[in-house]
Amino acid sequence: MNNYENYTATELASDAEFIKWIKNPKEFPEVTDFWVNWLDAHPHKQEEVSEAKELMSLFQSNDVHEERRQPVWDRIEDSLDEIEEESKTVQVNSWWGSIKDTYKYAAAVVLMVLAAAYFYSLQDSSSIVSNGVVAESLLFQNVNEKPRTIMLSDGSSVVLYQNTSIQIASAYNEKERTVSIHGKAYFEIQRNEEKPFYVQADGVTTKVLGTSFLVTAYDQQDVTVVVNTGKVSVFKETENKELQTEITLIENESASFTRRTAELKRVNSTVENIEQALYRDDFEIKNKPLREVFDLLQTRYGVDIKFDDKKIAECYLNASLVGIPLEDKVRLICKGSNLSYRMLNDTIIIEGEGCTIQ
Amino acid sequence: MTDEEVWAGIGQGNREALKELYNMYFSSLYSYGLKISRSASNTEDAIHELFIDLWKYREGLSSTTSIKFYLYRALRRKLYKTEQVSEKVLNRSGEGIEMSEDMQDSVETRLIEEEGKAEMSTLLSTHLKGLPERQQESLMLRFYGELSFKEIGEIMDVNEQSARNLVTRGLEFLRKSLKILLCLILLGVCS
Repeated sequence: MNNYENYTATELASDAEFIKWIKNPKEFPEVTDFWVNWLDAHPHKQEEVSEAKELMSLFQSNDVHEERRQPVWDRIEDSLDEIEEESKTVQVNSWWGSIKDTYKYAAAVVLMVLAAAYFYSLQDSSSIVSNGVVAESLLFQNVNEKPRTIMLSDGSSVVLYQNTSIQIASAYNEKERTVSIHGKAYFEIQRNEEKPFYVQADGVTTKVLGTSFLVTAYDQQDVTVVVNTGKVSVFKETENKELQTEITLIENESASFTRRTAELKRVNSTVENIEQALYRDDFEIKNKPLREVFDLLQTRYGVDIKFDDKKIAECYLNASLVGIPLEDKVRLICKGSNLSYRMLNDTIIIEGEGCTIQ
Repeated sequence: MTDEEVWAGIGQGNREALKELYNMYFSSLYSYGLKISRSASNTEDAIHELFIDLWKYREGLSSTTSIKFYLYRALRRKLYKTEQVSEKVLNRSGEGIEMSEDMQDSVETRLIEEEGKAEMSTLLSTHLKGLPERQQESLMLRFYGELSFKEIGEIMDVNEQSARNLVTRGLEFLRKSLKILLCLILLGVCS
């Protein structure tokens, strides 16, 4: 222990333990106790202590900086997010500009290798021969009971049911948007009048501009199309690849194609389609807590959603999310509740302050 | 979380640990940065860069580094880089500016000039401006950073004893100017 009795004011003000006491008297009780007792035992040192305190007050600033704490951190977090994003994409944005060129080129190469590896792992590229047409495409499958959602490059989403596969032309979204499926899938397609969306399913083609609908095309069963929202045109393909017998369906209408007779016809259905309701009635959200909405999305789309329970505890949603692609649903939910989202493979990460009452 | 846990957490890529570290040191780093750069935006940029770099190169961090020391040294380097503040030329002994009689006189003169101003606090902050830069910085590191003299020396590129001297001389300077101020105000007899 230092012999503080002989310390001048200057020496006290230089002393680490003294500084600790003056800076945060409440934070370190043992330190405070020591000095208080010491002062009691050496009352003649009061003058030196006061002078030392005064010296220190000369360069102690006011705490106007507290208000900058959060904004500066937010900026840091944004950069951290950017760093994470860039390790997954090929895009080299201007943030890299500040880094030395050699690093930049090396990093760009690494990013491209990573991106290539990432996309490669996602796809089985295969050639398909369909009625004489050969094309390169991406293939996705779902063999599990849990639904699997595929997000297309135009923001549309497709939910694959069990034992379903979908092939997406790699030129998707260039002049048109074409996919073919085997199995059962629920589509929510972004509206684009210039690029119609086509689903081929065992000889039945569905054409839409922007809508949501369910297609079922399993072996040895009828192929059916049920519309959730919007307008849909259904055709059958003849041997010479022509589309004929166009049937236009609107909400809640459906059509069915019987393989045996090669007949495509409208279905008069008074019985409510239960599956359709899964993506319709349940997504008319009336004052639901966000937690429930996220749980609903997880179940119906088979995606993982990570969120902070505390932040969303006070958030409620009142909106119709029917027929909108998954990402748009998430965007709308976040918009109303002071949240933001990020997508990472099959996981959606929800961030932001949410609705907690401060 | 202890310092070690936070450090380990960052090494493992835990963002919460980085945030914890930020919150622990934000106040003192900000105050220190502001005092030596006199620019809020430069200070904020430097702090931003500091934590981003820390995150980017987290795998290279050894557990034996003193976190506080690392942060202050890195912050100082960034601030000097952005501002292109040229380090005060050290005298040959590397001990910084010596307190001289001339200096004391100039303090008096300056204070007399300032006498016209009403606020005592304005006069007080003038003390700080009159203080030689390196002494002022050493005081910042000692008070805000609570760094050891050895650490202060390493950050400011002097030996431990020189760091000690900088702090002592800085305080002596302030003491003298404080006494002068009180004398002027009380119009009493000055020793």
